This record gives sequence, structure tokens and C-alpha cells, in this order.
Amino acid sequence: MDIIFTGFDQIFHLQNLLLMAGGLVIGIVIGAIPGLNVPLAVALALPFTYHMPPLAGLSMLIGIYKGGTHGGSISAILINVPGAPAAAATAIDGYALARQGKAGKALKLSIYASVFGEILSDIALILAAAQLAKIATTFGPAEFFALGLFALTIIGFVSGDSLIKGVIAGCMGLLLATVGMDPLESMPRMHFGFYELTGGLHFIAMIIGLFAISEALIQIENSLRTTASRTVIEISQKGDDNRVTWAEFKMVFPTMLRSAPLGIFIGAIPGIGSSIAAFLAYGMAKNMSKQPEMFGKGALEGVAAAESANNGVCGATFIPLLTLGIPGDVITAIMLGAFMVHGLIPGPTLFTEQGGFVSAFMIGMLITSCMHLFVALIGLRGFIQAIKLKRSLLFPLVIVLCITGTFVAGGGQFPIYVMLGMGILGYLMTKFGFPIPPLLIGFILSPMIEDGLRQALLISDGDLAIFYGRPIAMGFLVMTAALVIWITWKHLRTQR
Amino acid sequence: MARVDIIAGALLCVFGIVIYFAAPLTVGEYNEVGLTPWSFPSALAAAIAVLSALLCFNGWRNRNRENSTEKAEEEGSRSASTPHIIAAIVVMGLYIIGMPLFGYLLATAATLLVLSVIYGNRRWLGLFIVAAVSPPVLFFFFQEVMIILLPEASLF
Repeated sequence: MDIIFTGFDQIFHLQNLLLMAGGLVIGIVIGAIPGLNVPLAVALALPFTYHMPPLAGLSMLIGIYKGGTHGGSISAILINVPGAPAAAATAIDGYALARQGKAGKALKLSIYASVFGEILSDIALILAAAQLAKIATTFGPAEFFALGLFALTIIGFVSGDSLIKGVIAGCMGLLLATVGMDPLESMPRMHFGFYELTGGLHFIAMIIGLFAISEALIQIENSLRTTASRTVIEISQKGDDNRVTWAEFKMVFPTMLRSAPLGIFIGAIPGIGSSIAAFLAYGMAKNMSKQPEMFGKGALEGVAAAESANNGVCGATFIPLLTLGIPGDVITAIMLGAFMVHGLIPGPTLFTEQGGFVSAFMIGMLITSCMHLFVALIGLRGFIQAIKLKRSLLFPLVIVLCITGTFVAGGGQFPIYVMLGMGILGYLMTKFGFPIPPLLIGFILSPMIEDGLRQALLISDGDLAIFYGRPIAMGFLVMTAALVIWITWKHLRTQR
Repeated sequence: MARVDIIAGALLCVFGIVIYFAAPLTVGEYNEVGLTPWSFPSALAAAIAVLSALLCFNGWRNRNRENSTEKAEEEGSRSASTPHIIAAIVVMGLYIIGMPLFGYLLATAATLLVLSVIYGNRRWLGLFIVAAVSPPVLFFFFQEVMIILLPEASLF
């Protein structure tokens, strides 16, 4: 109970609350602009948090994450172009509603459903995290090695069409993390004569390069290809078309109540992501609806299901991150980096050593969700204008912010060169069909796997029984093997 | 994609082999029994080499399945945007080098201007306004709000 009070005490500061609101605004605006995405927004904001207190910086990033996940629905509803992949399911009925002159109704319903999903997800995080962390405190090097291997199987889910390319990208990430100081022997390795590399690759520079610079380079092609501006459907001024009536809210509430837990469940499993949650919830809502024929033609339940599920993922992705230190998706992988930048290592020890901080962070998530409702409703008309912003003006600014941000966080020229190199690598990877997320996941999990393996073998004097003799480690290894076989079989079947 | 896979696979395979042999050379000495500081990097380099060879082989096997229209479209879009992308990378490089020489304000304004043109913006008035207004706003934010020093011109 004391820890909860400490949490309240730490989070209720004007600076934290303003940064949450600011993060929400930035997130919604960036989410609403097609071409800009949530990972890019979080990566771009990361260096700005470098000089802030950890809780303040992370609160802002949480705001961006939640706002960005919902922001994608604005462009999905108004121009039928999802600002984020997770909003693709929202576009199906949202755009149909907008064409019927009910854009305001669809937009407001998407806000209510998103906030509902987020609040339930945050409550699930608060209830589940501490219990899971309690189990995780018993982990030793063997368990962490097995857990790291298990977490690597996320690569199978985020690899897209080519599993082999995903695995190569994952190996590249694991390899890049070995640049710098060897963790056990404290000897520099893989620096190839560059003194600056003995400290390892600068994490912020790497994230900004891979997610923001590469995206900015890809958008050059899109800018040159598309010159026509999109028509934005205006919000009707008619009362009932511009709001969700109480009767409509009562009608869609059971759908939200079913979809949010689905999003939470999917969010808690590493690797699946909010797009799948949104489509699964949409399908479930259609199957359970009394009017399934209305789906695709402007069903309110369709918008409510997709939005409450995709935002329901947000809080739940932090369950594996905070308790086990494994990222559930790309955004939480970047968030893990944000924790590490502030000297916090997510995992069971975070709960035992920084209980007050964890409590404040979780309460902060809940406050951000409540704030989301007001920020989104008050700023709605302004956020709609964001869709009209031109890529040719936005991306030069993004590039300048990336370079300035890396300079600020890295404290010199070398990290900026690393960022540029990573940007070119990310661009080439995209052009050659290699997914970027596995590289980041490999980079993050590499120390857990290498340290776990080497420490376990040192403890056991080289005896492999340390892995299969301990039930939790063995359990993770069996699950890893089963998942690898299943993923490989699934990809081989798809190829045929 | 088959041709791309062959090229990417071959390049990565060479990279993996080079790193496999170079990794032990980057560590001066070791005293650990069993796994050494280079065991993990070497194993990963070997894995990259093997998987890349497999990717290359898959690409070679599927080389005849490629749709000729898709191939032509892909090559067309690539050749049209390649000079712009190279130009953007060069501008970014010059910005990094130029920042300490010309100062943050001047270097940022010039970079914004050139990058906007590369992105296809030809509305000169808007473009000049953004280039003139954004750098002082960013400079003020970092220097006065976040209390972080940005590079000042060393040439003038």
C-alpha cells in the first residue's frame, strides 16, 4: 500500500501531467498523418526525454504511444487511409460512416472505444504485472537465457513474408549488440579500430536511424510518386450525426466489452500486435452482431470493436516488458530502450528495487488514458487539420529533428554518423525486403541471451544439465522449440 | 524479388564469412574457459553466412517465376528516385559536417531548404518561411527550455 501512495506522490506533478498531455497531442497528430507512424514518433521523441527525469520522459512517450495508436483512426475515417496499420480495420466502417455524413459520430466513437480499451488494459497491467514479476524473481542465468531464446521467436511473427530474411535481420541485431565491451571479460571487441565503438553502438542513434531516417528516405519515393492531394471529408454540423447518442453507446458497449479483453490478451503475448487484435475483434463483432449485414456499410459496432481492441493492446504489451524485460512489439522495444537510457532495466528486479517508480509508472499510464479522452475530444478539429500537412514540408523537419536529437543525446558527432549509417542500413533493408523490427529485437535480446548462456555455463562448469535440469528453463526451451517448428511449418505451407 | 534476393544473399554471405574470421582478431586476449568473448559473434556470423547462402539459393531457384511487369515497375520507380535519395544522404552528411562550422541556425536553415526541394516542394514562399522560422524555434527550445548547447559557428 505504501508503494501505491509513493507512486501517486511521484506521478502527480505538473511537469509529468503536462508531458502526458503533450505526448498525447504529438501522438495523435503523428498518428493521424499517413506516412508518419508511432515507432517513428517514439524514436524521434526519445532523445528529447534524455535530459528529463525518467518518470517525466517515460510519461511523455506513453502519451505518444497511446495517442499515436488512436490517431491512426482519424485519417482512416476521414480519407480511408489508415494513419497506422492497426487502424485498417477501423477504416472499413469508419469511412463508410463518414461518407454518410457521420464522420463526427465515427470519430467520437473511436475516441470512446480507444479510451475504454486503454483503461481496461492498464488495469490488467496493474493486476497481472506484480504477480508475474514475483515468479520472475526466482530466475537465474539459465532461465534468462531460455527466456531470451523464447522471446526471439517473436521474430517469426514480425518477419512479414520472408521468414529467412527476418531471421537474418534478427542475427544482424544480435551481432550488432556484440560491438563494444564484452560483458563478462570487460574486453573491447568488434570495434575494428574505432575507439568510439568500444562503448557499443549508441542506442538512441540506432533507433532514430533505423526507424526515422530510413522512413524519411522511403518517403522521398512516395513524395515523388504521389502528387495529388487527398480529399478530407468534412464533419457535419447536424447534431445527431456529429455525436454518439446514449442509445448508440448502449448498443455498442457490449462489443467494446468483448473486444478490449481480446486486445489485452493479444497484447500480453509478445509479437502479435495491434493490427491482428483489431481485425480479430472486428471479425468477432461481426459474427456476434444482430445485424452482420451492416458491417462494411457503416456499422458503429465495427468501429468500436476495432478501436477498443487495438488500443487495448497498449497497456498489455507492458506486461512482458516490465516483468520479464522482453518487448512485445516494435514500440515496446523502443520503450525498453527508453527505460535503459534512463538507467532502468525492465525485469523482475525493477519491481524489487524500484517499486515506487513502477507503481508511479502504472498509475501514470492510467492517468494518461483518462486524459486521452479530454485531449482527443477538445483537440479533434485541430487533429483533423494535421491530415492536410504536406510530406514535403514535414520530412525535412523530421530529418533535422533526428540529427539534432541524436546530437543532444549522443553528445558528439560520432553518434550522428552511426544514426546516418543505420538510416541507410534501414533503407536498404526495406528495399531488399528485410524487416527492420527483428533487427531491433535481436539487438535488445542479445545481452540477455549471451550473458545468460555464458554465466550459466560458468556456474555449471560447462555442464548443459543446468538448462534441462531446471523446470522453468526447460519449459521455455520446450516452448521455443515448439514455436520454431510451428512457425517454420506455417511459412513453408504458405510458400506452397 | 528473386534477383534482389540473390544480390542481398551473396553480399550478406560474404559479410558473414568476413566477420566470422575477423571477430577473434578484434579481441586481444582471453582467459575464460569454454565460451570466449568472440564465440557469440563468430557463431552469429556463421549463422548469417549460412542463412544468406540459403536466401541466395532460393532466389536463384525462383528466378524464372518473377513477373516481368512487376520487375519493370520496380526498376522504373527505383531509377527515378535514386538520385533524390543519394542527394538527401549527401545533404545530411554535409549538415553534420557543416553544423560546427557554420553554426546550428545557418546550417539548419540551408538543410531544410535543400531537403524540401528534394522532397518535391516548389512552393517557394512557404519553403522560405519554414526554413527561416524553424531553426530559431528549435534553437530557442534547446538552449533556453532544455538548457542544452547547440553548435555555434566556428568559421565566423
